[in-house]
Amino acid sequence: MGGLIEITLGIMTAVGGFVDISELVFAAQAGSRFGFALIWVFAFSTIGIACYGEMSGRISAIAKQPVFNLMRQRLGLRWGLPTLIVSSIVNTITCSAEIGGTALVLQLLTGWPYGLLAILSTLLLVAIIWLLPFKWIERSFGLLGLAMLCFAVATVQIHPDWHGVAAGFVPQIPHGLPAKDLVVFAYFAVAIVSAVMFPYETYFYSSGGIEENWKPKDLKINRLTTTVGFGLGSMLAITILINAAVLFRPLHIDPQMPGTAALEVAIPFGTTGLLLALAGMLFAISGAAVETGLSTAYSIAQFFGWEWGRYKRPHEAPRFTIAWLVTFGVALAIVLTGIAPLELVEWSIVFSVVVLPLTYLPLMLIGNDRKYMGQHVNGRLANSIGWSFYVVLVVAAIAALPLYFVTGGGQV
Amino acid sequence: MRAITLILIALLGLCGPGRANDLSDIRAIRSTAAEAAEILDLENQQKVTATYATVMKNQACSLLRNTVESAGSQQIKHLAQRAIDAVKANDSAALKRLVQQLYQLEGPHGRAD
Repeated sequence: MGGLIEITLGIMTAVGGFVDISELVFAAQAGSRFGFALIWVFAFSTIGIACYGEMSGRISAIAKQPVFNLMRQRLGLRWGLPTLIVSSIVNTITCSAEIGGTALVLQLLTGWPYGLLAILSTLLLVAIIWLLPFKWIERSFGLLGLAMLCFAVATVQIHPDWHGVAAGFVPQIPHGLPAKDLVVFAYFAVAIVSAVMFPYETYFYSSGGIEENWKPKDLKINRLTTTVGFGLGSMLAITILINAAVLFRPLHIDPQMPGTAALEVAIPFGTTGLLLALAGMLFAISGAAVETGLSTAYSIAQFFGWEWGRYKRPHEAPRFTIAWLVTFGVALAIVLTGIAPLELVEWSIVFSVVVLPLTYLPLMLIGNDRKYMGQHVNGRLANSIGWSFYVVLVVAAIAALPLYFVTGGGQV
Repeated sequence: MRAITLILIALLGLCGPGRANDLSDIRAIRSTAAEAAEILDLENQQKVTATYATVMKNQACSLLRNTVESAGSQQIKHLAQRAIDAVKANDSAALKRLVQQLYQLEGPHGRAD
């Protein structure tokens, strides 16, 4: 019974913690701009993150190695250090986007000044990380983020064309688009792959496995969390896309403000729906801020072999503690410069794609190494999916920067 | 070290000003105006809170003001200013007319259905 509760909680946490500000923004924009035509990219990318997530969790449970430790071992300083630098920049920018998003949502709820709310929410998040044990942090944000389910309820309420939705799961490039819109379509496809497969998710997930001292008996929970949990979480992101296609597209809205997404629930359910949507967004986005902030510290500490982990008291892992405090400080400073969270989201998305291949290569190598993994090495399925996605990620990494410039961040 | 240099150059390049042009400005004004119009309608139907509506309208005005300041063409500046005036006047009908006008200005969309 205890095991079942643990599995259910793990899955629910994964669902509630799946959506962050980038998925919220890109799902809504993708739906309003291209209808259901980009659903398949969400579904496709989810297979990738489930595969790599499962692999990183398995490596944590068996080899007891976090991602950046492996990266240094496998890539060496020549590639490992650039990956660490870029990952840390990406994580910090993403963290600032999430803090900015949190402040925006709080502003929509209270009407207080944005800058003040950014400072207050950062202080609150720092206090939560300082005081709560890892499991509490992960579970509370994940479970409270389940308020995002109201987007799925709204989808049912607005009666989309379900045949059209089902057709959206089939890989496609829309017919009849002018060349410039095809390029924007490609930009959105790459951005969605990046948003779903953000590197920080793997850093946080695998580090969490070590924080919670996973053992081989936890492999079942790991498999269910990454497949069922991530799958349902992705479905939640897809409902945001569907709602935007049905509600925003006919009105010629391509959401320019993150708060617009909440209208997807306000239109069918009024004020109650709006408040639920904002609450879900608040916990999902602030949870992602915690994950990105901690991920930066995990990466740096693991790479340099420092003491790390929230299972230790802050003074027992001082350099790790300083690393996450500094990350939050820098992220807050970026927010206070006045750069719009939406712009930060675009930067973090494009930077992330560039480091994705370097993030997942060590996982593939260790996952296949019997010396570390024993009988738990990758099976045929994990290898087929893992290497196929690896090719996709390399192509996406090469295409990301040119697509960003050519499309002006999807605005052309 | 060469890899680090290349990556940093790429990152610095990305941090430069975005490629704004008339079409992207028109799109941004059209969407912001459409968002504001919808918020005004929902506010009238009491489907959103007053705080939400006020903050969103302020954000819309701020985005539009940025366009007024950064746009190269006088026509774009004028269109963005019209949108700001309509938001301030809580005139959702004027915003919707502007949205249609901007939509036509964007030319063939070929949007996927």
